[in-house]
Amino acid sequence: MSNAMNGKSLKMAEGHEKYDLIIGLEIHVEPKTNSKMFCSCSADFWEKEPNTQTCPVCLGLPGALPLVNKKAVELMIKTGLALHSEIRRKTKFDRKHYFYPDLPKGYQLSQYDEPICEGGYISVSGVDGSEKQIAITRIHMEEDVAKALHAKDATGEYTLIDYNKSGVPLFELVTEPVINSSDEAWEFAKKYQQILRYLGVSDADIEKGQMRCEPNISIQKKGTWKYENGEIIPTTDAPLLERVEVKNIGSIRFMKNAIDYEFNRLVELAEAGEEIRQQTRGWNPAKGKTEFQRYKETAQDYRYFPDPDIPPLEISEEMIDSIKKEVPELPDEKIWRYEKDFGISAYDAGILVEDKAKAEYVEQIFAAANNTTEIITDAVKFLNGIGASWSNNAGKSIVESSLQPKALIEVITLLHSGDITRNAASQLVEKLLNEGGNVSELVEKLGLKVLNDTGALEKFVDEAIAENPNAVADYKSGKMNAIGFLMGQVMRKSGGSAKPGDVQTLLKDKLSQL
Amino acid sequence: MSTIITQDDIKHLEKISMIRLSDEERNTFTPQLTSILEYVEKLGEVDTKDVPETTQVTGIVNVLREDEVKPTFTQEQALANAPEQERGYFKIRGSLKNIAADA
Ligand SMILES: [Zn+2]
Repeated sequence: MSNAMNGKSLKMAEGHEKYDLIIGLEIHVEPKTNSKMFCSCSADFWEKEPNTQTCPVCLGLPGALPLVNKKAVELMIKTGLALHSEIRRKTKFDRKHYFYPDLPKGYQLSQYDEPICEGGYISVSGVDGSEKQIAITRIHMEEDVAKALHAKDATGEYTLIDYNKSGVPLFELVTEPVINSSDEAWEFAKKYQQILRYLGVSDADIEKGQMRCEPNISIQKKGTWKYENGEIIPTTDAPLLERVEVKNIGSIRFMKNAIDYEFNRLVELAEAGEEIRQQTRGWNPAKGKTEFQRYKETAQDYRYFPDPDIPPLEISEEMIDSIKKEVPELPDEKIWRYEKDFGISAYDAGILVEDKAKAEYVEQIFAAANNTTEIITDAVKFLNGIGASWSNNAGKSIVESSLQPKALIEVITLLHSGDITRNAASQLVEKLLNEGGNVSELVEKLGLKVLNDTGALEKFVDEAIAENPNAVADYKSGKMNAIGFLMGQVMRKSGGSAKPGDVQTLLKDKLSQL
Repeated sequence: MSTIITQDDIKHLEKISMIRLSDEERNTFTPQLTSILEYVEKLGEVDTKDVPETTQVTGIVNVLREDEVKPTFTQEQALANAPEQERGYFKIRGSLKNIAADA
């Protein structure tokens, strides 16, 4: 680590002793629908020719009538159910007004006071490692805006607009300001992304801009504030420090970096006695810093009002019940169950369930093991050991390997019955990951079956003793460790097929007779 | 109830409408907007004590659409009314970079 880095982390640690970090998150996600939110244009705008997926509704032409996409509503309810939110039985859409060319109607269809989902939480690991529930304020539906490209030529500055993205459904999740570190913010966003993928609600693909994070950040001197009824309020006469919003960050890692950067910047300002003004900033990934965009002096005046063209929604119990049935077992529940049923550590379980395809593969392995704890324990060792290194090297998920769930269990069964050694089992798993194959044929072909032929084993032991007089002398003179060396020699001669226990017994026996 | 429009209100309206007015225009619009609001305020004289707040009059709920893609405008149709275009994009003159809205 460079000196500069040391200096920086030292400063950060000092800052944390004096100031609390208070973060609220807004996360925008594009759900996986075929069509847009209020019209039948394709929602798949990625790398399409500009302005080839538009209609009167998403171009904001006069007289166009928006029609709510049922699937988008169902996906939001599914998300809310998974995040422990209340699903509003009565909900509506509102117009949020502002002027910008990426918004052709002059307003964005959104939800003001009756969002589909209210409340809920995602659990993260708190400072002391215990579980911390990050409260969700709401998740509401809105429409995405068009894509605007800013450019300049001899005639001056201009903007190019592509309306393919205009009207694509967008979920906006808002948390309470109860996040107190960049790690918590990172974990919250990661888990939200993981849950969306498990649910099949969204790919939340960062590269394609399907997930955007906006943290609002403030620092307050320790002991000068408290969180009450959803608000940060002062507990002394001194006014609270203003907050900063970092807009439209296209990656979870960058969001973490932006929070760390802002914390340091704000602490420096506060320590220098400089005023912190409420403002909007942007993240510059190339420079690794946030950049000032504008001050936020007055509250935004969006003039929300209910959209008169979209009748309100009444969400029935039947609809909620049927969607509830589609919510799969989620990562946290799986981790908890694996711990309880098979004694797998939360850390190991976390690796097993990191994505849905892998979790399904692991479930197949557990089923092939008839849910037997001893076999599963070894299966996890192989998966998170050799399996994980294979994944790292190959740059692929273990799901894409040639290792069949049943084959892994066959290997472990052979190991447990004493037919192969652990060393041989590892060799087999490695082979199966790369090439697959029939386990018993491989055992035969590679000569991995444990040497049960006492005569052959005796021959290897005799040879090892004859070839290594020094080790024998050491052992005889009381250096018991020397037996390890001799064992290794015998194992090598047997091609790993001898059982270590048998080798040791026979070696000791022979050596004592010398 | 009075609804006197001030110069500050006009400036706020300019900001959210993204237009710029001259002092002369502000002086014209201030009394004009005031008189419009006073006229609309006549509605305040109606007794609405027993009338529920209404944002929908049809009583219809749950107008939903299946998630199906249907044919849409061609690029040519979409751009038919564009004052200017470039490589299939709508083209807008002037610097808009720094007025990005907070949506
Ligand atoms: Zn459309």
